[in-house]
Amino acid sequence: MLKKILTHNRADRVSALARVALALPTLGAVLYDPPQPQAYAPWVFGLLLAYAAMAALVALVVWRRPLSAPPIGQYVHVIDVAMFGALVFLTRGVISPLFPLYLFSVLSATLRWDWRGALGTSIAIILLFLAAAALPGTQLDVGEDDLLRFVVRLGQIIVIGALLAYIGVQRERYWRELMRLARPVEAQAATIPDAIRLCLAHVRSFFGVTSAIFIWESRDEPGWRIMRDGDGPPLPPLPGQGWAGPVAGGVAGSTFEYRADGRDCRRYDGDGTLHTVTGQLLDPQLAAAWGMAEGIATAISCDALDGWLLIPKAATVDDLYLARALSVQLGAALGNAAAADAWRDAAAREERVRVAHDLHDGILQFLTGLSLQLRLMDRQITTDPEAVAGRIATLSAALRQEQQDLRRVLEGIRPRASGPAEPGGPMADWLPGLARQWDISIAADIAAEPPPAVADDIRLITREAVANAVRHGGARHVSVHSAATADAWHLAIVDNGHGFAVPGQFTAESLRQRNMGPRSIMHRLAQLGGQLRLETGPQGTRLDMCFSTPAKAHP
Amino acid sequence: MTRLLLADDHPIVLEGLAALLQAEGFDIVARCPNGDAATAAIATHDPDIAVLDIQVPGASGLAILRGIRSRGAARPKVIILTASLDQNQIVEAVELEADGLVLKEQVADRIVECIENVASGVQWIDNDVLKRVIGDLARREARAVATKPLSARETEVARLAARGLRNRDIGQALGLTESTVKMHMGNAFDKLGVSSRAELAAMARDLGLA
Repeated sequence: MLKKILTHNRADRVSALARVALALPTLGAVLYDPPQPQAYAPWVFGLLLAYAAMAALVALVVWRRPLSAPPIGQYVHVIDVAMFGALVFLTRGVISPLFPLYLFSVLSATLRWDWRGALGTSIAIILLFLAAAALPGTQLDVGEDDLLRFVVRLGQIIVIGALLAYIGVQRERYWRELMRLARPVEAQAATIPDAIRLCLAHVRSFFGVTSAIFIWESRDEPGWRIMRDGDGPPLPPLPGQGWAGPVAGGVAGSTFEYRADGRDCRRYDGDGTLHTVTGQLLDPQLAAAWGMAEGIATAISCDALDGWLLIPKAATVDDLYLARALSVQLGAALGNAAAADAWRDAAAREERVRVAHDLHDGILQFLTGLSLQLRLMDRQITTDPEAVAGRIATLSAALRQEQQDLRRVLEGIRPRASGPAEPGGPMADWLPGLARQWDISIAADIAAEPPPAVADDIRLITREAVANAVRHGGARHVSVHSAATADAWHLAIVDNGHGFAVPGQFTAESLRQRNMGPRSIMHRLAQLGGQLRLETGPQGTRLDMCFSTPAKAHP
Repeated sequence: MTRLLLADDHPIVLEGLAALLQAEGFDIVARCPNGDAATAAIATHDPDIAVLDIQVPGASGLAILRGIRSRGAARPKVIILTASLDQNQIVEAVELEADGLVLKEQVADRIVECIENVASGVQWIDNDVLKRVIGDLARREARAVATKPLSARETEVARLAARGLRNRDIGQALGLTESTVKMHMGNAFDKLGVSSRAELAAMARDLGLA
């Protein structure tokens, strides 16, 4: 629809300008040299004057209207043809000097309606032309070469109409191909081979072929791989290590046609020029094994791989251009799929590390401590039962806390259907558990709970910060402060450890540049879009974090 | 009375261990939450035995042991506690001739026996640890025999690939082009009989390369 509106309105504008450019000189010429017969000259002048005025008015209207406005070209086109028919009739019919005006009608119709316009207008003009030849007063005078002019002009209209109809057909085809190229390549898949399969299906649909083959080499793994989507003989194994690929050297990155009969082929390197290729660029034996007697080969590259797409199809020049354009799209799609794959891989690895840390620093240590306490109680049960009773009470409380922590770890592992994880409750509920785990004191000043969307991450960040303070800074006391403003939530974690090796004030960016700082906290903050300021010195470390919160809608 | 230094970053373990060992009659001269504190306390207190968590932050238990061995010092004797599933660390502790090696899951039952043996000059390694180490070394040996030896460069490439680095990053790390890295990786594939990076990573871990 958009294509139709844009095409029609642009054509209306171009035709409107051309109409003015045609009408004014014609009017001047008629004024300077009135046409025969003299009796109709005033009519001709009057009609042309009216036509010139209409042309100017149409140009004004068309150029002032927005492109999206409904087109008016069809009405003006009917007036054009009728007006030219009348002018030709009034100026000696088929031998009229105004006959070339008809050509404008055919051209503007082609611009506007492609082959349908060219064909329909040509037929209308031929009928008008024949009618003019048959009307009284315009009969041909064979002695004055009128017949010759009649035949030549008739031939002109037929040939020009046919050629313009052909151009219209081609234009429509280019539009369709442009629309096909504009279709996004859906290659988001769990693995690169799956993404390649989707790309091959796209290629089959794009070119309307029954099969397509992709041969590629990963940039990170040696060895070529092959995949076909669609029909064909079983694919034989590719040659082993050392094989340089299916295509002869010197044509890397190009698009070319292949023929098993060895005839010269065309190659397109994306530079706007077609080159002639003699000899076989594709290994003929392998091509035969892949069931490809002729076709197109085009290079595809992205960050993850380099490969060749083989399309078994008799190639036209347009096909080569299209294959070239498509290969760029496919390269981008595969690059995106590879990046997503790498991101998923990294995220899974990070999650495994996080879970391993949670389990190692949490339940595993607790169980070790518990077994030591039980052993101690076993020794003391007869000598100091009162102390044992006290230890049992303490251990029971610690066990409950550990169960809660373990539940939170499991909640963190469980896939989330949607939205953030269930937050681990108010901060005041889980901060004492951290204090017990690390045997330190924690002072909490919680003026505002974290936004629900980041609550679980805040718990993990705090846990990491406390563990770092104790393990690396030797801290014995940690203060946690939170506050909320209209558009942000703030968290400060302050410890009394001995600080980082390099004292000072840092942002996340400056920490990254110095390759220092709490990496997992920085990473998690970056994912949440939070900001970090770190101040560290011999008296301890202060982490200030800030998270934007969505503004509340005003009633 | 045997004088002990304890180092573990988890207070619940450190305190439990100290309480148990005190009750068993040992003298706890220092309790350290990290490796740096342990290193300083060893110099200060000159304990008979240092009981060190293998992954204590700062200077790790292994790093402290390595330092003692490199100095050729006879004191203190070192017992390594490990909750680690990383076989390479355990193997390294054995190679460094740790005086004692106890799995954290067995520590309550075996630490006293271990300390007593070490104090009397006997190397004491937890049976479960021994089984793990022997099994692991046997697997490595079998793998090494079954596969062709990698060159130094191929080993480097395999090690970095097993850590998840892409060829471009490996190339930057080793000063090689991507195509050279790929060539070395292809050779490593052939020699180890693997066909993907994932298999290469698993094999490198099995061989103790990563």
